[in-house]
Amino acid sequence: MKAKLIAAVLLTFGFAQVSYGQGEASPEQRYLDLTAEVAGANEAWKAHLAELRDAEKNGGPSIPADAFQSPLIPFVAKFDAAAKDYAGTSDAIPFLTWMAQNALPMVGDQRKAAKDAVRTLVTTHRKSPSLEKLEWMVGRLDYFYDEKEALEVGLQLEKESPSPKVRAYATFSRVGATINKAPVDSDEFRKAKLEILKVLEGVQIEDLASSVKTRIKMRENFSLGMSPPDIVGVDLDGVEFSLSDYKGKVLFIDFWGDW
Amino acid sequence: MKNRPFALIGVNSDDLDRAQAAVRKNKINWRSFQNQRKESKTSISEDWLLYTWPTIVVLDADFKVCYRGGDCDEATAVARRLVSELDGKPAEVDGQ
Repeated sequence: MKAKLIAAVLLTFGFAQVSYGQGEASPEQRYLDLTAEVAGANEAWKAHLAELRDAEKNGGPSIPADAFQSPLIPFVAKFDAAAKDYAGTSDAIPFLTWMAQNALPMVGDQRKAAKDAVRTLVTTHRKSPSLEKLEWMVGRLDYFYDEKEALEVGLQLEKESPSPKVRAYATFSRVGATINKAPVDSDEFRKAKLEILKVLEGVQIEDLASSVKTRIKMRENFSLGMSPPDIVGVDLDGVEFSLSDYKGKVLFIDFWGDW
Repeated sequence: MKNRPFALIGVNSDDLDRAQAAVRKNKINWRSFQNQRKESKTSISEDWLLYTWPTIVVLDADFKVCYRGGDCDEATAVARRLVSELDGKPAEVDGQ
């Protein structure tokens, strides 16, 4: 009888863990369980798609469009619920980050939840080094806020984030539009360029550094009215010549191939 | 555009044999750079941040970009206007 009672208590306790009532499973365990569920759903989805593809190849019906729908969609609400349970604490960060990383490409309520998650991360949790995982999202705050708010949130991150990477992305968020649009010969452009290049010197964000440098080079050398670098090379007979040999003439440069 | 302040320069992305064959076959009479340069780590197209082919760039007599893109008609119109502004003759004076 006593053994049955203990078993009943254990079962009840076990059930309570799975249902994640308040104060039962740790946030870490809840995150691990959810991500394991996601991985399982993903694998099942891939296997199902493979079966449908095989059937189609063997003369079966065409794969229905909804079979391609992401298996992650139902999980957004679960991560969202967990984030809300731990709202305001650092325990919410992994759940919010998962939403930001996975639900932004979705549509409707899921995308809205992902955008809200990013907004919560960059404000409530702005001092968390985990924000590094958001990468381009911190560099494009204008995607999540109107212009004025994006500037305010970005400045706060530049001031308060302990992560040099997050601060660099936030700086890019602030000056990116100037790099992209301001006249190349303006003080505004020069100032933005110096500022972002200086920030990027101190951090290892190769994608951002490379894209910023390419953009600056493109604008400085190839925008209308700008002078591109000379071309020095050999012609198809191996004779060396340079584009500047033709300076003083209108040049029509055709990048061509025999396709 | 003969005898006018104008030059058509190509940058060819093929290997040399194929490029030379294309020149012979299509009777191409303008001078072309080889895009890949033996003496340089980067190609001309990389230096010019060019990612789509074909692309046309039109420079004025001061070596400034006046067109960059893939629309041959638009590039030709820009070049004709620039040449005309430069030598004071009508854009299509030689019928080309």
